[in-house]
Amino acid sequence: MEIPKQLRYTKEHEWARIDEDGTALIGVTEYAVEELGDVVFLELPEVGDEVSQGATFGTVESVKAVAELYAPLTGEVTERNEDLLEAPETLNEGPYEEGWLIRISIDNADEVDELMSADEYQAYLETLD
Amino acid sequence: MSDSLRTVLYDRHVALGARMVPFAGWEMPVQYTGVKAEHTAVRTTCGLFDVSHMGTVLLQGGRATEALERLTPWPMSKLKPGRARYTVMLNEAGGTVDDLIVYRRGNEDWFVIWNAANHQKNLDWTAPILTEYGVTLEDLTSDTALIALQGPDWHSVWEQALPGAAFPDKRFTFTEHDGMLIARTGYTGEDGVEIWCPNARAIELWDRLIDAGATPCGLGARDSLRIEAGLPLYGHELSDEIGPIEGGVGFVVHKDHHGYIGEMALQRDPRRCLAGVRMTGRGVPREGYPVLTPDGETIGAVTSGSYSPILDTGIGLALVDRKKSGYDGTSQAVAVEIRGRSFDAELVVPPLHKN
Repeated sequence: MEIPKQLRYTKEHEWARIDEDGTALIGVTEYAVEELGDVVFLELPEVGDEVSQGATFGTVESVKAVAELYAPLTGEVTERNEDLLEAPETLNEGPYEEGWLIRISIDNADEVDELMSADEYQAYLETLD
Repeated sequence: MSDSLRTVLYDRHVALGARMVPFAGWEMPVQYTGVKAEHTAVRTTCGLFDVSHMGTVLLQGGRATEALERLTPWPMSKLKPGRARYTVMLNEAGGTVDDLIVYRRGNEDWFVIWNAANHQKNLDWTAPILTEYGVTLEDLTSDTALIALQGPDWHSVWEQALPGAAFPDKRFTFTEHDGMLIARTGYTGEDGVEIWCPNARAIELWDRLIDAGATPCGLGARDSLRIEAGLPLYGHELSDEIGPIEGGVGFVVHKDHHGYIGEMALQRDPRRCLAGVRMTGRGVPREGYPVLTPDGETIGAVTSGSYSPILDTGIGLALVDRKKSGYDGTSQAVAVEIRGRSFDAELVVPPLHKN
């Protein structure tokens, strides 16, 4: 299972990539995608919407199930992956690349410390099985 | 999962990369590559399912046929040997104990398949009747594998895998040879066969059918296929509380058959009926989601939901109030409430993929 080192993680299986311009790219992990199976629909917030750390910001729906998306960080949505909304199955193919969900401006950099490192997330996954 | 039962094909599933999940006390493959690809394979080419977990029993001797006529709302004495019938067992309140398929092998010789989740319940339910009619029940579930070959290409795959082997030539008939029972039945809405064989023969049969081009399919695709085909699943469209007429399988009740358990209480003109649901836009209906009129009045609830790779839309089955919905078997606009928001949908007559 791929868990990129440079990303930070939540217990709800979202990842955040903290960029130097004070924004974060947000997506879901390979573990989440494998649990869900074939993704068929996504609901994402609009650009300009606020998301809050730990609160839901959308849903991802697979053939078999629907899962809430939880924001890893608080901030304003500056971008969302319109290509992914058109072709949700892309999420199954590359959850860390073309399957990114939204970009937000980070309101509070301290929140980043509350996220797990790749090693911590790996250890967390091992507790789930 | 350590307490779960495993079918004889377990190692094959793991080797094929299946995700195994607990289901009705068994550890079963939910998917191999993905539900969409497997579902599409069954509709366009041919899929292979291990459904060995299903409860399989032989009812033999005594007055076995009469016992089935007590247990089901159908005159089983009229069924010819070599033919199969989909039926239900009713409880005293007219609800459904289980749905099942009976295969008549001889005068007092019946092969019966029912739901894994209800296996013990059914054994308990039938025991007093079988005793009364002097019938012997042999439980074959653990010793027998059941492999379903389903889809438009099933026959060419069969011929390639088992050249010259006899197969049943009509729907709902079966044939037996070489210790196998091969029935022209299934649970996908496609043509195909279901093959019972002793566990010792199952791996070779499975491998031959895979080598001949059948796509291995898990319980995920089995569920989305049966929803698309409008076939009920016990616990969703049928239950101890939901009888066969409201559950959409009223054809199992024969109007001239009498004396069966549940006859008096059977709801012949039930308040609710089963309808197919097709989303006209986004969203996937899931069990329990309310079904509304376009004006927002609740008329029922989704009993099963999925996504149809064939229609590229959310689909489901729903129990709706006949009066409030005015559902008359023609398409009509409704809405499904999905997580607090209303999404446009239609009530349609299954099978949904042919509509």
